[in-house]
Amino acid sequence: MKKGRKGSVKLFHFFAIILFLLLLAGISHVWVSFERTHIGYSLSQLKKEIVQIEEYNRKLKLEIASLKSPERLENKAVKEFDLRYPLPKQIVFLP
Amino acid sequence: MNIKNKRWIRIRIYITGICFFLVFLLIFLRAYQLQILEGSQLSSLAKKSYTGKLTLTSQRGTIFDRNGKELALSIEVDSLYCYPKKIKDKKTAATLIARALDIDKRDVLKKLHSSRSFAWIKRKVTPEQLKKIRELNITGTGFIKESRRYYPCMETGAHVIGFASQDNRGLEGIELQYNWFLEGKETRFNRIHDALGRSLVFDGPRIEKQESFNLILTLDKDISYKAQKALRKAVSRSRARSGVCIVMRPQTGEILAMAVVPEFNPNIFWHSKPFEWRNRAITDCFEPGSTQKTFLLAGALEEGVISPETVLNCEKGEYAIGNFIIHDSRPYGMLKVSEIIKFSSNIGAIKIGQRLGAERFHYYLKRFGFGEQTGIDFPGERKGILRPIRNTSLIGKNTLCFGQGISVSPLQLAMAFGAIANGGHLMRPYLVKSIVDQKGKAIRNFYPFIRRDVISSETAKKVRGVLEGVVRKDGTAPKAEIKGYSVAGKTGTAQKVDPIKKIYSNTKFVAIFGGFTPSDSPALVILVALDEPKGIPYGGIVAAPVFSDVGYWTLNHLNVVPSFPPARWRAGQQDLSHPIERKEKIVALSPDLPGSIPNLKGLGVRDVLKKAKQLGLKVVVKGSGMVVEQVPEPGTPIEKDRLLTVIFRPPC
Repeated sequence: MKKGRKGSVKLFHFFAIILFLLLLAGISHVWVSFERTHIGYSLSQLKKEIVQIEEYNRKLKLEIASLKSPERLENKAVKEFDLRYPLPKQIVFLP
Repeated sequence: MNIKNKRWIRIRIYITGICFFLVFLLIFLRAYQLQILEGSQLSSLAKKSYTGKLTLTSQRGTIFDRNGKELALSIEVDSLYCYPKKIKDKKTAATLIARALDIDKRDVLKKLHSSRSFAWIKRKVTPEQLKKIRELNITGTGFIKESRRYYPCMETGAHVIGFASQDNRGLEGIELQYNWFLEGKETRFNRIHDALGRSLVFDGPRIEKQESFNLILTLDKDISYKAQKALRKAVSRSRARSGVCIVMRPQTGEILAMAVVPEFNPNIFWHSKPFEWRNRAITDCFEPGSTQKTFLLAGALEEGVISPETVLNCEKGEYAIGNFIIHDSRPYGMLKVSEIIKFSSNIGAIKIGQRLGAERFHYYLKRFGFGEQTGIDFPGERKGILRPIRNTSLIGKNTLCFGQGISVSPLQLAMAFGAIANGGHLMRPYLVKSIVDQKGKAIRNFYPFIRRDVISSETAKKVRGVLEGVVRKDGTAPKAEIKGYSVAGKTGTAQKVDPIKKIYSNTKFVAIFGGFTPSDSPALVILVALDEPKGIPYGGIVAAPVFSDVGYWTLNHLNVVPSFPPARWRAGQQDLSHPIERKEKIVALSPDLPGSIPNLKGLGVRDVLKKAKQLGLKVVVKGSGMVVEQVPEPGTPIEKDRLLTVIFRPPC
């Protein structure tokens, strides 16, 4: 009778451990899924930011190119700073 | 518990068991139906609800000049659309939108009343307009991102670059020629999204990937600007119909600038007319006039039938060929071949042509690339007209010597001058140096290509020597002179054919100047042509100054050291026509001891460099303005290879 009782306890422990492991696996799965979704959102957000930054970069490049256009620079140099093209004798060629 | 009760309990157990069994059987059968029978169909349905494909249109590639400066690039802008059925108060919405966008209210109202479910209100709005519309918050309107092409240099190089349509398709110029590389293709991604449609991750490999490529041109933005400016000024001053200026590297065939007037702004190309978009340097042809004598001379020298010193009779300005009489601008008598070219005598040219022979001359014209396309990577190139010699009359054979009865494009003429400049190689011109991907890695490079050798280098050298005479004071183009540099070139004033009367007009001309500089080691070939200048139509008067202006600026820009200092400079005299105003404070300097480092304090960079050059010192320049400090100190004996460090500060 005692032997049968001991067997039942062991069986109970075995099922308890199995149940615990299953619970652990389930929680892990849910946690991993949650993390995956979370990282997915972050990645998506970062990709959007990259696209936005790239676009901003392109707009800045356009602005630089427009600001550096020879016509604008020449107008600024002549009208604002009163600069003139050098005469041949004013140019020094470095060896 | 009696037996009856026990039986009843057993029956209940059986009934419960059967119920459980039936429920499980039902669940099993349903699971079988869902998983096995309809499994694949249902799983694909489920997948569709959380996955999707994202299509991204790639940005049109950027066009750079040879120094990596942007000439054309695309950025994203917003386009305003509407769902007409969703807008309730259309009249108010139209008023508000029209006011924000500064467009006609009726146009907006028409779009809002459209029977279609979707309509564009305005594509590619400005950031200010976008802000205004967003503030209005009108239901049924929204923005879509679209790509828009910008050309930051505006008119500069516009005829070469061309332009792209609103839908990013190349319509003209390089944009059209290299559309396949610039356009790129759509890129599609797999993605997982949530119930709200928000993207979670981009998943899996890209289905289709074709990025756009960038182009690096041979053009130099600054040289192009200078050429455009000088040409614009010349066309305006001479009131010409149009003008062309080509700047080319003779050794490679790279086009550094290709300016055309009338000009247009590719950012708003729809505001100009199609004839203004045309790149006349490649698509238009004219008679070369006296510039043709250059190639006649080259052929005759190559064949050895003349030398620059050969004397020919120019018949005192009148020479009869059949029933026709050929005239010169002045009654020249006996002239050397070099003088015939220098004074541009038509009769002298005929005499050279007679020695060479019409067939041989025709052969050389073909060798110089006339009558065939140059092979430039640009759409719409014309090959001009060079008639077979057997179909040419006697007068035609003779007038061909001074550029009548033949039609050439400015580019052909520039390339032919290039062959003289580079020692006899006819190069293929090109506008694109390389095609690179978005990471800057070259996927295709373009290299100089010799189409053929036309004349020997000795002959080319002789021709260069003769052409130097043209820009001397007594030549036809002294205005082409570039101070400090040797120049060789030839003028041309070609009469145009009156299309109605079918005879040469006495009022319509094409003024041309083609040449290269420095003539002893040519770095540039420049060809200038002005169509129908009013007033004095001579190439040496209206086209040569453009050559000089562009040439001088470009040589400085390319750091080409002068071949010789100008006469005034050599003599140490001041150029009184351009007095130099010195604004700097003049600082009294202590006298310098010979053989020692001078006192440079208070001098500007230019003066320091001049002084250092005279003393053979190497200079390290730090800062800008005037000298405040120098190492070594003044008075230190000059040693060999002494390094002089000079610190400059702006004056207070």
